[in-house]
Amino acid sequence: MSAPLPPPPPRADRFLAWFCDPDLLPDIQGDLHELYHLRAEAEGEMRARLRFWVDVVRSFRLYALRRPYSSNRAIGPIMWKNYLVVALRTLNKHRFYSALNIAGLAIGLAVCLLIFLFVRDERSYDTFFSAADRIVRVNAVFQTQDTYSEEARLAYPAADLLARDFPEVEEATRLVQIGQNQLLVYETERHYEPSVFFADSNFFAVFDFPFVAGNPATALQQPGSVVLTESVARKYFGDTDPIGATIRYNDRADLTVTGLLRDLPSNTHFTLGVLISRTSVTSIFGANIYQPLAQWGWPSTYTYLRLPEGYDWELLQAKLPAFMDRNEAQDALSLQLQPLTDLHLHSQRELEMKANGSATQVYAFTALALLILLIACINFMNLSTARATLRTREVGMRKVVGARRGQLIGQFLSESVLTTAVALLLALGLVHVALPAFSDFVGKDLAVGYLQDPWLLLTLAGLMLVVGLGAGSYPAFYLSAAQALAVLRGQGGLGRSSGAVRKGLVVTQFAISIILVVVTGVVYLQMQYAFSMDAGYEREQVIVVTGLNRVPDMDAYQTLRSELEQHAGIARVTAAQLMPTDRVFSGTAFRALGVESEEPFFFRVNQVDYDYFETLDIDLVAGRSFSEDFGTDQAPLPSEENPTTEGAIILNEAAVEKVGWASPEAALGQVLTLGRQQGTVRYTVVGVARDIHFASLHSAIEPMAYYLTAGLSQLAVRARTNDLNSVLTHLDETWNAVVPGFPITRTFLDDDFSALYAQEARTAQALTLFAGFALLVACLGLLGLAAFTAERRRKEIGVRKVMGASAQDVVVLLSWDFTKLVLLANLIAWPLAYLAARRWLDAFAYHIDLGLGLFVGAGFVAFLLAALTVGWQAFRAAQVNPATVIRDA
Amino acid sequence: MKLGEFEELVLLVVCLLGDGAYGVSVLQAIEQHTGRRVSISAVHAALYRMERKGLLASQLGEATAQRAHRPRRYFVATGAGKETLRETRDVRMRLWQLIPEARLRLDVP
Repeated sequence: MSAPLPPPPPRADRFLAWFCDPDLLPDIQGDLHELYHLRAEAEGEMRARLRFWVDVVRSFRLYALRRPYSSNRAIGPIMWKNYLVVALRTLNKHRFYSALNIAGLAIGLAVCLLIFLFVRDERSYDTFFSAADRIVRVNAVFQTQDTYSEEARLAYPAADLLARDFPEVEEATRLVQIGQNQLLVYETERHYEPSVFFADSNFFAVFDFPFVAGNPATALQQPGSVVLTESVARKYFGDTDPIGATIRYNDRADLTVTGLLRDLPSNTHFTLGVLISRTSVTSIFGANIYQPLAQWGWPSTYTYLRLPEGYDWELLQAKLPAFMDRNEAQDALSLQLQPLTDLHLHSQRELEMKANGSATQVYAFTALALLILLIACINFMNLSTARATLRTREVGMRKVVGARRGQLIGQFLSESVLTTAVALLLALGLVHVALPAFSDFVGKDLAVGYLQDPWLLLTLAGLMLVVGLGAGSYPAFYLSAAQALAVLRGQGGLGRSSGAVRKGLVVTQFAISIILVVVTGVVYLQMQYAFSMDAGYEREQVIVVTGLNRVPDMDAYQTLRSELEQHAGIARVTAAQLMPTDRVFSGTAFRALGVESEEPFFFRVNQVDYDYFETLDIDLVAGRSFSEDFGTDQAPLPSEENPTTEGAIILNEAAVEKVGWASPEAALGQVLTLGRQQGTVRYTVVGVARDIHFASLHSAIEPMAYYLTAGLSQLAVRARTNDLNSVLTHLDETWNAVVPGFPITRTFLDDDFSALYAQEARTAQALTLFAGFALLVACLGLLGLAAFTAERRRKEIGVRKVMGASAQDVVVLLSWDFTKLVLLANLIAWPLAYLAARRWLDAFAYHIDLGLGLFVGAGFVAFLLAALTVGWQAFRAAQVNPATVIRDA
Repeated sequence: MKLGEFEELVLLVVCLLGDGAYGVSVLQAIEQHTGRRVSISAVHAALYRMERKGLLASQLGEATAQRAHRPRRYFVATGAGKETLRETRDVRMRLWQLIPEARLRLDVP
């Protein structure tokens, strides 16, 4: 024989082994190798290697291919039955662990499902209209050098002009809002209706709201027709048929009910109660109303366009700047189209019909749901792998009698899917119980028919598979890798230690929990800060009456004021256009005399009456408040005879800074001018007020100017007594005497203030709840692991105790193993939590500082919970009499 | 039972080789006796196919280092295999006898 020949090309050999049916492989491989050796002798090694390759490739034929094992070795029903029996036996044998496993998973799944329902609802807004995907709303954008605002409402004429200029606009329809609360009267029923709109006759052609009665096509055609929603109609007409009835609007006009609308679902951006035909505008307000309506500056109208099928709205958007130029609108104004289905989650504009949702919140909640599910899955994996060490013998036996690895993986995966299914059923039960409360909490009707939704059921099935396979995968692959021989010889037989992976997973769980706790803490503290912060004005015991413009004239207003002031319980009374909880938008252009600037200064304006600063207790940092003693503080409106009038103005600190005056004192006596239609008003700065937060802390303080005006819209009354009831009674009686026919509408300023933070408060509560669940689930997992470890180390503990260890030593020994993981989790969690909290706080113009205390606190809570959980188990283990443990070896 | 032309060839060779018929020896015998070059995978395919049809039976033999310690699989024709070979031959023979000798002469077109 010649020198030993190198083996045939190993890559070809491996390729052969890979594709070849294992039953045929020995024959084929043997023959190929033999041929290789024969050929190497006869033809040389090179050719032999080449021909080996050729033979391998040519052997890649159907008869030789590896079969997917199920096709020729299907697991029969008997095996499946065996798996099921073994799975149930295992669950039953270790009830404590099964309960922990299933409970943790069920809680995780239930929370996940609730959040899923919430997210599904948030995403379903306005999708129920048949033309939903081709309707856009036209928003107004005001932009000057240093102001930018987007408004949901637009000037009235835009719709007509758009429909005229663009053939691609199939329908343009609008809702005109004139005034806030409107009084409707039918016989003895008198109510303020908050959502009254004048609607174009084609409104229902664009938005196919379901009608209970009436014809959608004609309901809004005639002047004087009105369409009501069912719940509004019930207030006035009870159960009688309202069609054809006459209802009185604001004591100005009679309207005939021509349609009855089914109540709107909650998942729409519309708040419709009363729709009056747009043609009634003239008959109610007179033709003069069109003069202000026609101006581009009055954002009175929600404008919607229906575009052709398949038309890309951005094409139209691109043509709008030229359109605005053609129609000589204001320079500062531009139009912006927004798809109907984006309105709820992606529109936080001024003048929205109702507070819209936020996409960020939806994303945050989705992330939360996934994190909690992850924690629950980790529990499942940890407990299963931990328990798995007890099942290696079963695996060994199965392997010895011929189980393939794939079969074992299948067995364990199906076992975990089964457990998941049980948990899912339990979770559905939990959801069923919790859903009404959760619906209330998020202010939606989520409970309606959620089990009939095929998508939801599909998602559930998908979730079950994903969670079952995901959570079961690690134990399945890990267990099935056990070496049968080693296991049966009693050598463990499992490869690398599963402990390290388990520890890593525990650290992950606790890191997530700690992050959630920190973020929750930050949200909570910020809320506290907002509520307790000195907003710069008094909001306790201040009653706000809206609808002051219904007071017939100035004399009546004066009567009202003096009547109120006479009551012993009332300290101050004032009126204003805006209360501090109101949003202020669009600035007014002032010029400062003696200050050079290209652009005018845009200040937000609040028109007030005397005593505004006194009633709300707003400090003046310089100068004086408005006073009747001077008689010159209130500027008359300029007129043709008198084109320049004079008055007093009070600025806030931000405005002083904006103009560039050195100090509040320096601003006193300076003159600002304000252009009016008939001339100019020269305002002398008489005082500088402290900066106060208008609206919520989200917004920064804007430069602001206060001046006196007659005919304001809100009244503020500060009570000085604890007997608020008598004050309220007096207020109501006086109002009814002065403004007969219009019931009073009043609120407390501190309630309005709380309402500003309602959204944040709800988010904070939801976060607290979810963070609590995350910790709970994580602790359940730790409890299981600790119990398991304590059980496994019973003998060791027994021996230690015999050798003289105290119970305390044992507890410390067992606890330290886990608590050090929680400490490590803290180190990972803190920087991540810091970043998350930082981002959230940045949305507030005024926010708390992130101290170390919060992080340490959250870490400590997690540490304490973990220590208690583990300590309890350790303590139980330490209590066992060592003799009993060691004896039953 | 019908036999393909190549299968018939392989079956004949297996019979020819007696108890020494396995993949490589069959391949070599075919090449030696017919002068055709065939690939080992074609031989394997024919062997396994006929084994599934019951024309061949097999048993494992010795393993050598040259075969990567894989045992040889020796094939022998079963009764059915031999029967099929005979039938095939008989059909051919009958046909041969039916053809007039003159028609097979090479010089006649």
